[in-house]
Amino acid sequence: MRWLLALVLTFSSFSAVAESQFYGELQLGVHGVQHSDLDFYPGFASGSVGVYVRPNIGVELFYDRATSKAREEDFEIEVNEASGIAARFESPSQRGLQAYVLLGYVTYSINQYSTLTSPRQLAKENFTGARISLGLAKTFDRYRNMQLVFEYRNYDVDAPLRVDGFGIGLRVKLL
Amino acid sequence: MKLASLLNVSLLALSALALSACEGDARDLTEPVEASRLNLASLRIVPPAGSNSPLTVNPDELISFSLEARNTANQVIDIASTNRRWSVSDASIATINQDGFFTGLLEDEVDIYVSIGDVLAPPLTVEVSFGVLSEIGEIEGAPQLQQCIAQTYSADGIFTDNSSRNLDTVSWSLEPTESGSISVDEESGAVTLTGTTPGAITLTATSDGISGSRVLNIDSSLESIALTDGLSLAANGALQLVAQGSYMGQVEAVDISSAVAWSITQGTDQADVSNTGLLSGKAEGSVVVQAACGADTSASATLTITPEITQLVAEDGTDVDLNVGEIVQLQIATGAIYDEDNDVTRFATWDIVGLDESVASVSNASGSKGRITGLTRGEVTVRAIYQNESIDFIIDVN
Repeated sequence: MRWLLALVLTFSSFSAVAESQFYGELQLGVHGVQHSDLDFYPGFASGSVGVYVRPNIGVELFYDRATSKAREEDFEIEVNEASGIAARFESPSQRGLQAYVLLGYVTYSINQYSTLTSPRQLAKENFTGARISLGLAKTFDRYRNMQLVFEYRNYDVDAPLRVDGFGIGLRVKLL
Repeated sequence: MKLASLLNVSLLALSALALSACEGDARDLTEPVEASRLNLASLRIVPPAGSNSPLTVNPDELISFSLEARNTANQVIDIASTNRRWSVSDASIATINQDGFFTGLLEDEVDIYVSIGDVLAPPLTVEVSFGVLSEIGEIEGAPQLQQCIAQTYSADGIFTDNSSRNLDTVSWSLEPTESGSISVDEESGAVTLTGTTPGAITLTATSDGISGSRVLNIDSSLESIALTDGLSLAANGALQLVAQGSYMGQVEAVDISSAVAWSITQGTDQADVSNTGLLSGKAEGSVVVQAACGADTSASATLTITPEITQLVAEDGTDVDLNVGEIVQLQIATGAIYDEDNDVTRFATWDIVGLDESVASVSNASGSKGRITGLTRGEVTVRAIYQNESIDFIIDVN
């Protein structure tokens, strides 16, 4: 229901601001997953599409997919999938450099494999919570519609579990 | 709707989602790790202490369950019973929360389940049935008591639905009252009875105005009590006294310190003694302490109360270097400068500070107190406590 409400409002925004600029972004990164005094660092790839609904304010949909598992003690973990919607708030550009904040809603699943058993035992759990990202974007001198981005993200859930990560990626302003 | 307000609503909706929509149970991930680290092999659901089988409860009655866990070596291990995924076979008959608190709703049988990781406890069946106490059934426990050795008793009730249930709200009484003492466990309703005077006694349980009694016999097998004489204690210190009871037909003496009646017969200005035998010094002098069981069996000991201890000192300083596998004897004395005559190494309590006992071990056993052994490289603090004073040693294992 929350998804439906957010999507309706988002796409209403899109249609109401037809002159706005769309953008897409691809990132590769490493999640940090911490629980039970264990730290896992599985890899991920992330893609997002969005639209600037005001100068330096955008709304975007994102989707992450695991690229690698990480092992600690007798367990392997991957952040299997993550998806959601977020609002982007960017600072004005200074010499092609912008800071930004993403605030949004994320739903994600974690797969945890026990390597003690054969076949490996899978524990899978879905989480929903807030996505908070802080990042820097540098506009290429030659390609003014492209930016190199560095981002820290945190998928905050009310549980004894911490999921965050660092990503590096490329953002392209489409229109 | 105007563009600006539409945007504001969108962003507001996103913010609200982000702040309010936390879901997910991390126990799916944390419990397998916990089970692996504990080598968890089996779980058992433990009903309230003294419960009868089958366990019968009234609708709306709240009872709590706990967990007993065993590792692969079949040893009982400590494990939390709260914040677990407790469940029942039919939520219309009863509910159970994640801390193991169960409430009956409707009359019927219901099974309780719980698991940690992939280790499942066998289900425990509970009968939810409405019943009112009609009579006190059996008072369970040994028929015969030894003087000053505590025994535990519990009462079962017969209910109007013909069920037999352990009674957890019971008032207990003893007749004659001077023949012993009772201590009630408020949680289970059980009573701990310590008989002091040989002969017959009547133990009575009363619940909801209904009473039931059982006659018990206190035997006269306690032959003597022994207290260690000649001990000393600082005026600002405390000392746990031990009363050993010798029983007819038993080779080993029994520690009956918590059952005897302690008193100071001489020197009440010099020390106090608690009802468990903890002697607390007050002023220099001597005291005579008595431990008695009933009117006929007692023992006394004279103790010296020495001047207050203001500090402890180590023989060779408090920074100790040793190698892995090396053994070093630590020595302490009272006073500002180490003096062999004031050595209290053998009287102190020795322990590792903190939970990490992998770097070094320290002996607290009689004959080897204060002896440390290097186990692995690292640093650890060893603390010696003597009569409320303590001294720390920094142990560096190379």
